[in-house]
Amino acid sequence: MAPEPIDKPAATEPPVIESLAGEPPIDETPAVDPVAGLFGVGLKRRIAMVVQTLRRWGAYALIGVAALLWLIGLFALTRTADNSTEFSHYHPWILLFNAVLLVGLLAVLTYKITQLVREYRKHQPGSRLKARTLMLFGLLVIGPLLMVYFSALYFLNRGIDSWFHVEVRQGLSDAMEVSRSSLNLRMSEYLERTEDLAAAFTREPNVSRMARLDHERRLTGASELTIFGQHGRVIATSAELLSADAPTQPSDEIMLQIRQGQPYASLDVLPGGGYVIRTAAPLSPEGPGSEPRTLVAIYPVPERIAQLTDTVQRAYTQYGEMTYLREPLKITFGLLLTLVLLLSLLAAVYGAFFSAQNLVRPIQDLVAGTRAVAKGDFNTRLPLTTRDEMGFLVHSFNDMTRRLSRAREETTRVQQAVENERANLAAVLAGVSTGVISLEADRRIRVANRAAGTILGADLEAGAGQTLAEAAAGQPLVEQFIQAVELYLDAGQTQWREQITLQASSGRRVLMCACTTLLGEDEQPGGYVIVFDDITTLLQAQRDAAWGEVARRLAHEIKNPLTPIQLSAERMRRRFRGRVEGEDEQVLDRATNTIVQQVEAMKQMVNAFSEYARAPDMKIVRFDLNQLVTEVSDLYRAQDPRVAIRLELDARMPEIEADRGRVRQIFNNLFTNSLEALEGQENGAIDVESKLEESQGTRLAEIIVSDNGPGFQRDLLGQVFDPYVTSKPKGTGLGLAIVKKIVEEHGGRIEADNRPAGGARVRILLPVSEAGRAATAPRAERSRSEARRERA
Amino acid sequence: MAVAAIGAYADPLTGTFELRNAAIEHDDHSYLLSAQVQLPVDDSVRDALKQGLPLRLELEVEVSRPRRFWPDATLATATEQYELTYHAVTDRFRVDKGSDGASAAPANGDATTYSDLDSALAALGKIDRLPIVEQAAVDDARRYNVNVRATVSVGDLPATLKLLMFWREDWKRSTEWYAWPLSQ
Repeated sequence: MAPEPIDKPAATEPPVIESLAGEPPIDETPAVDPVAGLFGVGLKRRIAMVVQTLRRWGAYALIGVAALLWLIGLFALTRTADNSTEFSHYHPWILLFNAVLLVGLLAVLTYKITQLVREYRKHQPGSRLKARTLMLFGLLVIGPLLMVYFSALYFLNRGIDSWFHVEVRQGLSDAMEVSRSSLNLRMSEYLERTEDLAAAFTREPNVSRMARLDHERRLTGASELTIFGQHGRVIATSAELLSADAPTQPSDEIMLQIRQGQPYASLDVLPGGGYVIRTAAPLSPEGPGSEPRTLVAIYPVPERIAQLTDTVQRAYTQYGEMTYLREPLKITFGLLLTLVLLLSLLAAVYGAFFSAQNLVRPIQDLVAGTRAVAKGDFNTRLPLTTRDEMGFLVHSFNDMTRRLSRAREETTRVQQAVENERANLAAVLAGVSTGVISLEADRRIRVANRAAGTILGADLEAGAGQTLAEAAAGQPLVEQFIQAVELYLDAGQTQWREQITLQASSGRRVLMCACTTLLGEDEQPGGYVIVFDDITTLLQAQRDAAWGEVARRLAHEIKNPLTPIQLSAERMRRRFRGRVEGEDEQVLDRATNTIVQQVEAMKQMVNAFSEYARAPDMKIVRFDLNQLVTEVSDLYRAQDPRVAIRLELDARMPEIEADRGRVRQIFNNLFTNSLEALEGQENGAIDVESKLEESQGTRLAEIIVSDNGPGFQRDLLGQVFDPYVTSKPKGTGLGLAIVKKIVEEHGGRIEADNRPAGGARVRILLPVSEAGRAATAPRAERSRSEARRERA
Repeated sequence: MAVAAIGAYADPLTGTFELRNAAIEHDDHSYLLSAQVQLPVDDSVRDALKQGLPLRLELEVEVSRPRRFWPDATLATATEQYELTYHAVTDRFRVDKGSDGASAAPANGDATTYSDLDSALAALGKIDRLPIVEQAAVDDARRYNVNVRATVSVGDLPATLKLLMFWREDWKRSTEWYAWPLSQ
């Protein structure tokens, strides 16, 4: 800031003025230097404050010195006005000093005013106030000063003029006349005496001249009587004071007048002061041809008269000088007065400037600070310069900005925390396998997580903001789900937990659904949170586990008695074959045969069970899936040539890591199923498709086996993988159950549905590598480890 | 105001102002300068004198030795101040030629009175055997110059007024420097 003026300032505080000082914000500390980072800001600010204080004191000192100089200058100037000799040597210097002071002040003021005008034009904050204050102060000061100046000038001129009144001049002239006539009277009197004396000397030519001179001198009161001959020759002299000096030679003037026969009288000024009256009269020649003689008589003028004459003379001279100097005096005094006025005026204006600046600077700071705050810079701190109301205001402002910045920090922190929480929640929501849908009060979707979409087979995450109906369009699962949910929502239940069964094309989906109503204002529902889990697989797993148990029991409990039954039946047959005859033999034969056959069938069934319930013991090898598919299909093609087996295999399919025998079992079972379904059907065909898929960073081998048979019965679609669920007249119902088991053991996924054109379709996804399996199918791992535990 | 003042006091010291009949002689001790200063006195100066203002004549004498490639060396300087005043009561002009240059107080020194101004002026301007340099100080083998300048001023202004009246040159006037070789 201002400076820069003294403001300026202000150059390193928080972004105050810039301006005004344009002070740079302190938050730009370089992060390179750790020390600067730690102490830089505080130290910088402290140094800036010290510098500012020093500058302020410096400015005060400068102003003080200037004011002192100004006073000295003024004093000296006034002293020069009275013509005192003590200063006379310094007069030029005093004048020069004052002139320099004047020029300096003028320069400073010009600079300041230019600056102010520039600020005013730029609409800089505070410039208007400053200008107004300056104008007011200036008018307040200039008015009285000018008044004093002009009246002083007027009185000065009047005073000087009053000296030259006609009366004064006349009085002086009269005084002069009086003294002159008084002296003239005395002079003519003395001249008369001299002439008388000269006549007396003429009459009595032969008297003793010296004695006579002394006598006459005493008689007439002359101080000196001399008779001069030709060429200033002294014939006789008598002086009051005996001095070695010869009598004063008569001047040419005297001699000239005497020679013309005229007596002479004059008033002379003595070199040492005082007056004498010098008279001269010619003496008649003593005889024809004798030298002409002159009597010169000098009379003293009484001291009193001399003094008065001196006074009159001095007054006259002084008056004359005054008259002569009248105008120059006026001008000179006028100039002096003007100089003093200008000095005072400029100093006053400068003072006005200074005080206006002092008054306005905090306001400027405040304006700049307010602007900075309005722009969002809450770190603005204003310099506290005064302790008055303005200082209080500045203090309050600083307090306010401090609170504001603290509040903002707090807000930012809270916002950050909320944001973190939200991100956390989003991560959790995204991570859980439970579907979560949050609804607004008007049943628009607020948030839905990925699992919700996955479970319902739709992208609900993108459907945020849609109504439920919009989200459900074209999504059969979602539609069913919403129908079920709305039923409960409409019933006004705030909190419920129900199992919902949905019919998907790939089978039944069982969801465990819980809903909580969020209470908004006025106890009205402010929204709903629906949490649901796809428990189809869970139920399946429970069922699987139950069946496994059953199978094991069966294997254990049933298989054991079967062998003795079979053995007993055979033994019975051998024993009684020869003993009975005829019809009995046939009955026996048939009965035992039936027993053995049925036991055999039972054994097979129990074996199949035990196969299903068998604990997994996989031998993982790398093999070519396509090759395996080709091998198996060739086998079945040979078995039933009426059925066409079409392969559509992906050449990119890599070798997969899996248990080769079991994967072969999968295809065996699937082919067997299809062939059985196509039995007795014309144009039966089995399509096998393999594809390499990529899902969430893991590569999956997708195999689809479909036929154009009757397909799954619709009502059984959800249970096709359950054991003993079969639509075939014969068959254990374990084929698909075993396929599913194997697929799950490999961490894969299996779906069964009907083709739109008719016929069953089974889709299998197997991870290509062991690592991928671990990632995709934790459930399989779990089931395997469970099985191991059980086996142990 | 200033213009009016200048107009009212226009150039009282105009006219010929020069040194005439200058001669340098020497007696047993010193070199002596004699000359006559023609003073530029016209009616306005006469009026000023009649009003009581003094007429001052200042004579600056300088004996210097010219040097090559170097400022001249000054051997001796002298300043003489003569004053002519009008004594109104006695109606006489008084010429004060106090040889004491520093203070030209009219009270001491030789003063002569004259009844008419012209003889007083003649007496004021007459420089009669003014000692300028002692013979002992002069080296016969060298050449010297005598420089003389006369300054006439009317009125006795206070120092400040003198300084402030820089714009009025008419109360004071100087001749140029006259220079003669010092004949030995």
